[in-house]
Amino acid sequence: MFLVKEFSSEVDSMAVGKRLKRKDADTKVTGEAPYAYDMSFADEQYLAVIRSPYAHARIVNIAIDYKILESLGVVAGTAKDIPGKNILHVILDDWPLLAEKVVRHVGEPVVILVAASLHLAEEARKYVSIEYIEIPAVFDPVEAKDHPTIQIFEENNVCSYWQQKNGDVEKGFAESDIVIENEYRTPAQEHAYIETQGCIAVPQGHDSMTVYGSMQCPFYVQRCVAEILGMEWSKVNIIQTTTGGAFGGKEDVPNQVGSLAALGAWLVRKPVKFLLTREEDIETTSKRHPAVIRYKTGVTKQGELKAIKVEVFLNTGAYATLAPAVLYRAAMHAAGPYRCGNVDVQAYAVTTNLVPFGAFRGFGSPQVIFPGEEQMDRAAESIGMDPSDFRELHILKVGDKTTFGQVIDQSVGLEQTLHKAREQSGWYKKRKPTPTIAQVLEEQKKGKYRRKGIGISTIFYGCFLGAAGKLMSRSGAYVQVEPDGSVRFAVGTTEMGQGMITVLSQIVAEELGIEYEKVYMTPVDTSRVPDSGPTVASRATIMSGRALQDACKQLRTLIYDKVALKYEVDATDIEIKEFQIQEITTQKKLLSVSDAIKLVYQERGQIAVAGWDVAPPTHYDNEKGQGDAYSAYAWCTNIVEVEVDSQIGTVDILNIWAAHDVGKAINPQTLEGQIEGGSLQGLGYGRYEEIIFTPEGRVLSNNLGTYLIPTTKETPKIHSIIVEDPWSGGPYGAKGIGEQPLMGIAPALTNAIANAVGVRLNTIPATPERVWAAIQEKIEEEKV
Amino acid sequence: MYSNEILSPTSLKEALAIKDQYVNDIFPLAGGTDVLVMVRNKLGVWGESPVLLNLNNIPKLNFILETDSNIEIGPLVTHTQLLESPIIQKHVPALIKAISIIGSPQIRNLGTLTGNVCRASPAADTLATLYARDTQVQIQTVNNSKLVPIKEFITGPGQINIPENGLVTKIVIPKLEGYFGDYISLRQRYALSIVVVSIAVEALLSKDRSRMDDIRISLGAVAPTIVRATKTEILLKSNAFTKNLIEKAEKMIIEESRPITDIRSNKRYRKAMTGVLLGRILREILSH
Repeated sequence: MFLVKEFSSEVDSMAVGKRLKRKDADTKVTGEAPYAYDMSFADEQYLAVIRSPYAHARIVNIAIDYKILESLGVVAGTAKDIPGKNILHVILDDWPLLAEKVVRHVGEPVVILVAASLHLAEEARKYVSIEYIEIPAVFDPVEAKDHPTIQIFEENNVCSYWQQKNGDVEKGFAESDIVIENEYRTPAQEHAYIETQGCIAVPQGHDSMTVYGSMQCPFYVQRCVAEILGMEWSKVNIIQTTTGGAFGGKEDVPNQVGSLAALGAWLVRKPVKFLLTREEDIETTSKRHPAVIRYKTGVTKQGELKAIKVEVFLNTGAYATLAPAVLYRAAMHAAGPYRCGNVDVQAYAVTTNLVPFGAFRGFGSPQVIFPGEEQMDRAAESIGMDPSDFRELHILKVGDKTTFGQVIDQSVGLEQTLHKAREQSGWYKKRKPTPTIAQVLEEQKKGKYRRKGIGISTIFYGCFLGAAGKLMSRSGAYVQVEPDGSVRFAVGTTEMGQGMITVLSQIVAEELGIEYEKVYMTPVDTSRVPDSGPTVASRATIMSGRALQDACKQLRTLIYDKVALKYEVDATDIEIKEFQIQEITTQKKLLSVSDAIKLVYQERGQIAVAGWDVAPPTHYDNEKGQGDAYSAYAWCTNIVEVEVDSQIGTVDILNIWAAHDVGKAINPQTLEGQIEGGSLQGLGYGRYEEIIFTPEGRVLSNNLGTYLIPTTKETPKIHSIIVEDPWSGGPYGAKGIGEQPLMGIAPALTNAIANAVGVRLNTIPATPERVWAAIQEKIEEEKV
Repeated sequence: MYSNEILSPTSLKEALAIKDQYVNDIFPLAGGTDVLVMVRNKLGVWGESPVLLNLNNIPKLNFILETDSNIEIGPLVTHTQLLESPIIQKHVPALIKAISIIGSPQIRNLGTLTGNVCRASPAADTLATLYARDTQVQIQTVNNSKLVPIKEFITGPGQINIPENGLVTKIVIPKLEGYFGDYISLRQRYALSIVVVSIAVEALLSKDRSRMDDIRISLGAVAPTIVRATKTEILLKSNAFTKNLIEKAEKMIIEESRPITDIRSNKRYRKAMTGVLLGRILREILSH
């Protein structure tokens, strides 16, 4: 089914592989790009949401003073006012739009208020009183699993379970000389997209509903709005507005935001705006799942990797939302990109009374990669081996089997990334022996507080949705000719800042042999574009790209036929070179591709061809814990250099070398943008970012003054290294790049800290307090 | 919903008269970097949006003056102005160090020293140095003007001691000839972040450099207000200035400080850091 297009070097390329300017650069730089906030409609209304102040409580009574509200022109809505189903579909259908009998997290929507101004909607809160009876809550996933009395999801609070089984771990540990066992904790990470969540619902009377908004997956929103309003899907139209960052945070949350706005609009029959403030956004919308990971690794003194045993407890918050899919990725990535015959991974997604957690760049994998890569480093350390050499012994190569039994027969660039990152960073020269705590203290006495260190991680990324999401792995595309000889294409995947429009335009330009400047993308509107599946899992370039290739191929045939007819040449004897169509045998130029498209238009009108694609089959047998988990894998080595102040625990990051095997860089410039942005977000995860909850389960760090992400001042030099080991299933050999830049930074960073000052962290982020406390603990342990 | 009534007098006299009339129902506005956020969030002294007394149309409130014994700073002087002022650079170098890391360039361009003082945050960057300098705050009403020591002016987090019809019209920083001044702050990142713990020192060595003739140490973010480490100051003033004494001082300041755990850091770390930071400054002095 998958063939590699004959395509060898950049010399032949018209668009692919070039550093072309982003299609959306100008409007974003000038500020002209219209975001949800910029849109307005006649007679628009505003929405305020009354949310639960409790983490877990029964709703006894909702008293609304309708008389006063009516006199103020305010309309209130509760679960009873939902015309369709009170369910926001994601995977398990456990997530209500408005709580009816029980609230399960602080900030859960209970009542909506719609008024002509936000001020009025806010004022009207006092005319609604909700009586609750608090019930005991649980916030820790280990505690919540099989909790004897607190029940959030079915009997045991476990909403999803995945496993990996390979060989016999107990035998593996018995054969090991050294067994390393630790419990790790990772924090909730906020997406901190520059544009907060927001949707505007515009009803066409009772007949249909249009929702505009900032989102990744308009077709998800279409389904939810249709089901909430009890409307046919074809009467619900979702239009994506320019989206100011998403990172997974706008995968499922717009289901809620859009449906709340749509319910409001349904009740008042007027356009309703629902734009979240930063505080409301951080307090009530999804974040990266916090996790507890128990990790056990067995090695021999000769450096054999004998056994890996992992238990993952993913804290899903109050509703499952995307947890089954997130957990799948966590389980598949838990043992790393290594050959190991004895593996046992048990992964649980456990519901608690925190805000529902969700998708975030890396999707469950950063939570297990931090422990996994810490363990690899500790294992290497325990046998006195260089951590990069130790990894090199075990990393997957072409033809190897993953720990879950998948043979990877092509496109395995991990070794190349390792070699390149090591070479460009000057690894062996920079990597000094890790000091003892006595040495650190000795240096302190001489006034030397700052020590440098360097650390590494090697990771893999299962591209696209994989076996757990294969039903969404389809992708559609249209390509349409315009009378002026330009081309317009439509896909259902979205631009959220990652550069998709640019990259897909390059693919269309390349396929048709037309100038990049003459290719445009239709804005994403569910009534006009095909469903290309969700814009998640680093899949848009590949899946939409392949559907577009399919459509372009058909259009190319059409063009060739028209040209052959008009110029009386053989359709098999023409080719495209430098935007021109020419005869192959005579090399005679016939006309430009753009003129040929005009020709097609003149004859056939504004014809659109439809392309289609589906990801190669994947299958995972969870009973056996083995299977072909993903269609393809991308690979990456990160090396991080730090300077640590051993007295105060501050960690400055000096350099990041990020080497990524992406198959093919369609646009190296946007690719580097992804690597730099992802690395920085990974640095945030490892070093700075942590949502702090109160003991009552409320988000305390609810703004960007208390939830700290790295600024330009914390940005190190990021050295992007691109490796291209093509994958036959991807357009031009491309795989994905969206997520992996973030995934392996945290452990490379903590491994660098260990190299600098000799202490290990089991919890991220590596705040000064944690690094300092680890140093103090070591001083006490070793009594120096 | 954030609209406010704003009164913009053009003279100090007029401003004082307005304050006298509105008393607690009006709030002075200079740079607005904090006040406007509070208005938006309906925080602090108001459940509802207050009337604002905009002082920005009174150019006479914008001055940096050097007198024989003091530096005087008007209420509209921004952080950026202070950073660029040769007077401040020469006479209060520790303040330059503190101000250079406040917020971001945008915040420093708008925010004022007087605003920082009146917000009375225990984590405010400028305050540690002002306490070490025994700075005075001039409070004016329609018919009165007086100077109040900063430690009496600030009474708690966000709390100041000012008559309901009073405005701060000047900050007076005494010059300290021959002193070595320094300021160090720890924070979670290098820009747009709040102090975890900070220390300001003003030290005068004896001519033979064997003793401290005077030392003032103030700590930020370890108590409800900036505090002076008086026990440690006494220890340092009453003994020969040696490496050994520095070690004793480090221990004493850790004993003396009483920080809390909050969203930004924890008690144990903050306490330990007071010693580390003091040690660094004292060793710097000793090595010079």
